[in-house]
Amino acid sequence: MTPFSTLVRVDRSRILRRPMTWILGIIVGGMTGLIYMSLALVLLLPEDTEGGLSAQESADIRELVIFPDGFSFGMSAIGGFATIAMIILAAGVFGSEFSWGTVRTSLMAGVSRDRFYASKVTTLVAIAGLVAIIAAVLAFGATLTVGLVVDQDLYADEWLTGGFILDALLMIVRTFIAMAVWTLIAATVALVTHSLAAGVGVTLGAYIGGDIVFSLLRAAGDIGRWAARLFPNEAVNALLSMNNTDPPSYVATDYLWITANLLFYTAAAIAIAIISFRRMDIIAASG
Amino acid sequence: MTVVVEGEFAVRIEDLTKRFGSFTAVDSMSFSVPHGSVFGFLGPNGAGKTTTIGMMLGLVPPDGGTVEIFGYDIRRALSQVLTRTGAIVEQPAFYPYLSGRKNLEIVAALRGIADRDAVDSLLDTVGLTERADANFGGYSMGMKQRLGLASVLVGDPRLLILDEPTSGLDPAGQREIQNLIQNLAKTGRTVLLSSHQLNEVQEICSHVAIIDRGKLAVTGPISDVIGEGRALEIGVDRPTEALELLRSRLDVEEARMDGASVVVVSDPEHAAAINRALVEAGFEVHLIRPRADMLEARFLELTSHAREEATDDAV
Ligand SMILES: Nc1ncnc2c1ncn2[C@@H]1O[C@H](COP(=O)(O)OP(=O)(O)O)[C@@H](O)[C@H]1O
Ligand SMILES: [Mg+2]
Repeated sequence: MTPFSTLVRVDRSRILRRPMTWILGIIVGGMTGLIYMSLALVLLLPEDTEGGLSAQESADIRELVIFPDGFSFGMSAIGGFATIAMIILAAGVFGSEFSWGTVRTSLMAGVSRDRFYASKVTTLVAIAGLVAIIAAVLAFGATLTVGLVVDQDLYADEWLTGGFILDALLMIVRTFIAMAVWTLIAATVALVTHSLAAGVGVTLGAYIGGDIVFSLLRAAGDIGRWAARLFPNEAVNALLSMNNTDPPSYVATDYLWITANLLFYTAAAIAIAIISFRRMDIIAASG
Repeated sequence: MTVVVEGEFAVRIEDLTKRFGSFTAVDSMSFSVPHGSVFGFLGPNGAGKTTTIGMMLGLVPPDGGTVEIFGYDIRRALSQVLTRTGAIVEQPAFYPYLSGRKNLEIVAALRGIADRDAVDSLLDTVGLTERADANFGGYSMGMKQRLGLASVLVGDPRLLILDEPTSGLDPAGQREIQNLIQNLAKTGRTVLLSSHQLNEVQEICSHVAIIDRGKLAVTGPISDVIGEGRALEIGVDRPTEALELLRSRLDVEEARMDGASVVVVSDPEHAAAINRALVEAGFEVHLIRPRADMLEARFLELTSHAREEATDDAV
């Protein structure tokens, strides 16, 4: 049997050679650049001039984008774009196998269905980890650059501390978990529907639409709040709000429902994918 | 270790059945493919060829029946089957953004083969060396089929399963692929080749199975199925009456209508005797000639017969 590491290596090479992967990367990088460029430009405008910012607005933006808070802002913005990119990537990795028919080629080469799924998902989750680290590097670099450009200051005393580094590591882990959950869900939807478009549409719909629906639900009192907690959006958002500069103070039950929710969706996505893939007819309906 | 006794057949299919909802695409199909044969798997579009092949390769879970390849049951030992089998199902499927060579290297890696020279020599075998580094997405249909053939040879499997390998090609392209298949067959491999185009199969196959609407119509050595070299086309006035007469003769194994002519299977030496008998019975014989396109006639007869029955049932 072909070693699992070979399957993962082949999947990594297929993903890295695919133009879509780099287009997604460029889009995430470009959005990050745009945001920081416009914020830096706004801060560089002279204050209290016609069309400029008031001193208060200027101070608010400065606090948002410059150390120490700036890093958290960057992680959240870049992590958000990167999650969307990972959803598209994961749906593409599974959906395109069906539109190109290459899933047949792999299965006929003796890769079992379980291993086909496992190696792709392992590769995607590893990429999500890498992307979380890259997001942190980008957020750090961008925050540093804005500080230098706007204030000519490195703010090294803000980030060259054990506390900041530990926080940054935790933020990377939480961002990774959030991306991994959505990646798994997108992979399962694309696999079950045989379709990139359905994988992207359904998962992005749940990711973006869910946030809107659940913020309305939350407003509907305790029942609404607990109902919202049945969905992955709530748990991911609760997890990510720990990345904020003023994190909510969670109690044991909060950690419990967040963990239970995320574990449930992870397990459900994997189980649904494996079970439905095992039964699947891997030829297209013809005339 | 299971000891596998291979027996005389490379593939044994028994009672194989597949339903899509209430529609039975493959219905209790049974046939066997002898070792070293070039086996034509024939049927009109929608007959169930691809579905049957899909079940043989573990791509389509069957609803019933068994498939044994080299003595291995696909339900229990699919990976044993797949290491010994190379296949193209429907169209050859590769990554459009990767070169032909890279795509072959991927197939080799998935099969656990890390030999780059092997990939080069396969590209050479199918005549793709020059365009090996161009992206698969830009290949012509003929080049795609050739890359498909190269991919089924990775790991030197003893059974090749080719699902309509010439579909979508112009006559010259078909000819090229047929030549390649003929060369592959000479190496002693077993080749199962599906097609709805009979002329190509007739030339290169030693055995056939003809299926229609999910059911086996006939199978066996091609000479048995078509009465190769022993088919005579007879043009005669009042052909239906002539058919009656011919059917009663001992030197005619089989007689049937084909358009306005009567076709008989008989030893060519009996042609004169048959002619005489018809003339003596008062028929006007204007034509007796050997039929070369017999498989086509047999195929049409078998499959249209099945179609009529189905229509009768529906009424
Ligand atoms: N996945 C599927 N779902 C529903 N019907 C299918 C599916 N695959 C094939 N069929 C039907 O099964 C029949 C046999 O198809 P197929 O095996 O592709 O025929 P062939 O390869 O001989 O042209 C066709 O009527 C086809 O429409
Ligand atoms: Mg077909």
